[in-house]
Amino acid sequence: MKNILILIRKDLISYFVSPIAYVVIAVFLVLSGIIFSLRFSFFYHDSLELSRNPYMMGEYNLNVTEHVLEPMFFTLNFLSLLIVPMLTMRAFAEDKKSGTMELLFTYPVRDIEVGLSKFAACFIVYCCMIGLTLLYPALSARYADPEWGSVAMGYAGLLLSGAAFVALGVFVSSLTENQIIAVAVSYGLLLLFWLFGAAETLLPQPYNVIVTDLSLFNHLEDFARGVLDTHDLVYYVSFTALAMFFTLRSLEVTKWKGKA
Amino acid sequence: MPPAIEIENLSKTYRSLFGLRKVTAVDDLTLHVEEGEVFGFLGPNGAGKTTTIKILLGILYPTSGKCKLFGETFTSNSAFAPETANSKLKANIGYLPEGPYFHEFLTGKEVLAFYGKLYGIRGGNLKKRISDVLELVGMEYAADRLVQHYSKGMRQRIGLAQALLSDPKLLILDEPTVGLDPIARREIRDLMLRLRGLGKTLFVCSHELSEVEMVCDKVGIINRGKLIKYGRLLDLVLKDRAVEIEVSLLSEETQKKLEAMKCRVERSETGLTSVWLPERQEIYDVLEILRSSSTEIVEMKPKKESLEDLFIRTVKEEVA
Repeated sequence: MKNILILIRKDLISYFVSPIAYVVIAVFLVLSGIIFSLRFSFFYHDSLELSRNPYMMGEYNLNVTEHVLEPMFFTLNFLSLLIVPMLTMRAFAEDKKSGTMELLFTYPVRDIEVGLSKFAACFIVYCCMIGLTLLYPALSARYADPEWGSVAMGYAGLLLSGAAFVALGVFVSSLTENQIIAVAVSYGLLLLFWLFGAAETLLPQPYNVIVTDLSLFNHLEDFARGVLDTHDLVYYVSFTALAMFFTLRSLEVTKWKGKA
Repeated sequence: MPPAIEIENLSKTYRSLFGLRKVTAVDDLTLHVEEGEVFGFLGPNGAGKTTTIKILLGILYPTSGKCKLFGETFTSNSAFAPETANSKLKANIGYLPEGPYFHEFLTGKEVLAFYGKLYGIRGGNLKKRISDVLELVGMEYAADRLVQHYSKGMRQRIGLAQALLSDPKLLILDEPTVGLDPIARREIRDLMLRLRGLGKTLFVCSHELSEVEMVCDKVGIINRGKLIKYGRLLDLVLKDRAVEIEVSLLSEETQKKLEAMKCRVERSETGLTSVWLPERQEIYDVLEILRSSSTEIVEMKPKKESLEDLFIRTVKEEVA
């Protein structure tokens, strides 16, 4: 455990002394901020319209959680898909290329400690990024009354899906010493898992159910609505664990092959 | 006392992606390095030196054979041995990679603190150890500078400091003096001799043969994965004994007499002549011929084969 903390600290320093983390987080916040402000202004506009037409008040139940924050979670999730590979691409690839990974393995550290520390460091950066978006529900609370339980569940879903993204990115990074390849393959795999969601109408029964269920994004729906379904929880945890297992196997293979 | 390093029938074959092409990097390598010895591991580029070192360090698994360190199996291709995070043994190995690279965003001291903590050294002990190794490699003055501002020689020294952090019994040094200026080279060589004096076992892989010759007790020459020469340096290079006598005013008649004794005579443009004796035992007969012919002896020196000569001859013979 001590080794993991030492390695996480070093990896976090490497993220925050370079402009990578700042640029990636800034891009994420700017894009998500623009989308949030647009959604909120539509919500504000609709609220004004409804308040001018009391007959419609009974038919529409406008609430900020359902109309602003719930779709916001999907937006944040999609933006994470675009951002996370940029964070994970260097996890192993950089150390492999420079030779520091080789030196590290001559020390009394185990593969699992190295793998977990890489995952944890990336995930902490991801959490910082997502943590800063708490500003959106906080701003909403100034003008409306969000359902905090649903908001908390939405963020739990974002963290779980983020962990899966990070684990997949870290695994891909462990396969190569080229960061460009790492980022390209991560994008490819994450988009593939995103596209699985579209299989419902494209594939015949029962394949469509199976493939749709593999989608990383469909499992966020219940979380975004404020519902905790163990099916989704198990999916994200299993996905993350499996990706980490493959990462450790990849490190093992490197020791047989010599170089990734 | 078990040897520091026992490599037994070690082989490593790399396979291409679909296993269609095989390259044998190390082929049935067996060698022993006793504790306290300085071993020079030599070979041309691509001979299998780095593969052997990686297997020795446990960062690469062999196809067959095994490595024992201080009597304990450290690396083998058995299903269970690959977990080579044997902490006790690893703490006894210091490794200096060729052209060491460290995290650029850390200072020299921070690099050492990072690696020191991985050995489990903490607090005051760590501070003391860092200051000791920095002093040993002469890097106290630049310890607080970022590694990215270090010269090649400074990186090499910090690399050596990193290898010495846990006060290991065995040091594996891959090209320890490459890229260093003559003064730094001399200092590193002196440091290796000091470490030998402290009873450390050194496994040195280098192309600087004159330096290896100065510090090593034993050498192994590897080519195309096979160990082609192995033994104590003195035993290997002293087999070919010769004496060179430099003379002036050597007459044709004397030259013929010397050549009759199987001496090799080489006249140079400076007017001096070198007379090579194949065997030292004949030196008195040759000196008698020279004295009787009133030939002036300018210099007489025993010629022993240098490690470089041995290396080139061995590799050429192997290739032939």
